[in-house]
Amino acid sequence: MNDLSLPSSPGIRQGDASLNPKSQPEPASVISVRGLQLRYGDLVALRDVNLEIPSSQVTAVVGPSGCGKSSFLSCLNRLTDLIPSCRAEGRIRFDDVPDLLHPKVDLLELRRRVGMVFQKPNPFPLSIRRNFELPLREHGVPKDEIPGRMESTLREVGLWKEVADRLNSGAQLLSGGQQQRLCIARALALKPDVILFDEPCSALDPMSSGIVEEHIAALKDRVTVVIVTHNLAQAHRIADRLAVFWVRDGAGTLIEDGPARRVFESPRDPDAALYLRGAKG
Amino acid sequence: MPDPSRHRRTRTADRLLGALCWASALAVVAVFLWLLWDLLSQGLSHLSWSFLTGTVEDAGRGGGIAPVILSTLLILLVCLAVAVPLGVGCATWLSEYQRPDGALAGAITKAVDLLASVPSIVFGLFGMVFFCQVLDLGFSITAGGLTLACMILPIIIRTTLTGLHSAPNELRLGAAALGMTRHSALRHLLIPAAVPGIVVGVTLGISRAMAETAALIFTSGYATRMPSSLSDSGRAMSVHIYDLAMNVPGGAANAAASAAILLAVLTAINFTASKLSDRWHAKAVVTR
Ligand SMILES: Nc1ncnc2c1ncn2[C@@H]1O[C@H](COP(=O)(O)OP(=O)(O)OP(=O)(O)O)[C@@H](O)[C@H]1O
Ligand SMILES: [Mg+2]
Repeated sequence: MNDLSLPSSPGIRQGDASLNPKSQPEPASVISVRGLQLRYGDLVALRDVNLEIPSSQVTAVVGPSGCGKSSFLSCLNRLTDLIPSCRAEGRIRFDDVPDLLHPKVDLLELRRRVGMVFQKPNPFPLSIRRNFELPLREHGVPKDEIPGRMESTLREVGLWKEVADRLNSGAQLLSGGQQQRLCIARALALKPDVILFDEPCSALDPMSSGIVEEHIAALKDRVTVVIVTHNLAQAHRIADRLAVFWVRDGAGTLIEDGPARRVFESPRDPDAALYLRGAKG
Repeated sequence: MPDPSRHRRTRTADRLLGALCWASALAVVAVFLWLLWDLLSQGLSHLSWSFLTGTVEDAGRGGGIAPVILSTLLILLVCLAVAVPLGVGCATWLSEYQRPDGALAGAITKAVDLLASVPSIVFGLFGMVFFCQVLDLGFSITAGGLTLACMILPIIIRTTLTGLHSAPNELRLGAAALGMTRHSALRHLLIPAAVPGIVVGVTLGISRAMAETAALIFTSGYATRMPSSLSDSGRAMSVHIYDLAMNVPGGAANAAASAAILLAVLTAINFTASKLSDRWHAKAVVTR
């Protein structure tokens, strides 16, 4: 990853991507975070976070409660903008966007390209169909294309058979696990490059949780996945890369990251080592 | 330490409290029934189709109340046409476009609450000066409607605000995370979620407006002829009832009959509003 640690200019990045197809052994990073600091008013939630997120892989973010994992995710799609007291500094390159924290960045397009799935399933209180129509129409997808996109992404999360005959009924009538897969399908329908998952399974029963997890793991051929999880076994199962956050000097920071296997087997940071053995945090 | 006498004492207190609650509930029902009885026993014999469709005669002692009904509806129409969009807009701005701790939003919320506690006679005087004289609308249905609009604005703002605040924040986050504009989140998700609140506000507003006398006497006036346009003066129901009861000897029976009609209309509006809001809820969830 070291060859990618310097932020490269947008032009070169685009050229890179078109020259090197996906068969590359070491995938290019689609997001690279440099010196990220995040504050809520006077509270420093994140300090000096540096992380490369390679494309088409699953990056799991773990760490004890309150170390800023969710905050970190919401920097990546600028959901932090919705919290008035929240200030993010540093530099985050996303694909051809050299600095996604820049105020002039087109947020609607950024959030289309960087989707997000929350801990609590949040389908709109409308019909299943409307859940797709609203965001897709908003992004200018022609009306006659919508049913196709809806069907293919619902198939992708294994929900099509279950809902095909009830697309006009309320999305909130689905079970929790189905709702969560609906939300994943809805995010996928926008053809994002990255999807951020914030503890997507922790509000679900073990059965649904397993199903949702499988579908997340299967996504990485299409999109880059960043997933926050408290479930180390889950991180072990699906992560290609692991990022461990920790609270140091009163602020969350990244204490270790790398290929999941390496970090799990021989963590360098002593806190990370204890945490990953399940003994701390 | 179990102490039987203490036990008995708390049980007695319990019973006493229960009896008090029952008594107050019964008292409320009794007052309402008495009111209804009073109105109907006096007014029922005067209620007839021709009472609803006739013109006012002999200062209200005779004839019907058709012009009064029409004026009331027109005043209400003007009032709602102004107050609902303005109130919903203001609440939306306060709730969705301002930080809750912002100075401006705080000042406006305070002003709204203050406005809600202003006595209606003050609105009447204000309306007379501002709408009738400064804006030169004269004694007219428009002036009365606008005055009432000012009066019910705080109610509509408050209930819409409550409706918007009760919309889960996940809707806002979820919509933003899908790259939706704030405007379309409002239009498709948040305002629909606030509709029951808005309906409550409009119902309360209508009730308040229909019951209003003081704010209307000086603004829409008390002319009893059939209004032909919004710039005509027109007598509202409650003004009519007030006038019959206070200034017209022998008008008490027609006052009671008019009051019975007012009560029936208010009940019907309340009922329809709650049905509508239920229907909207069911429809929004299932088919939209
Ligand atoms: N909206 C907010 N306003 C103020 N402080 C916040 C806000 N959101 C989070 N914080 C603070 O920022 C820090 C990091 O919170 P964050 O939610 O990112 O942690 P987390 O790692 O996701 O925790 P968890 O595992 O419990 O979800 C915490 O100290 C939290 O109190
Ligand atoms: Mg969190």
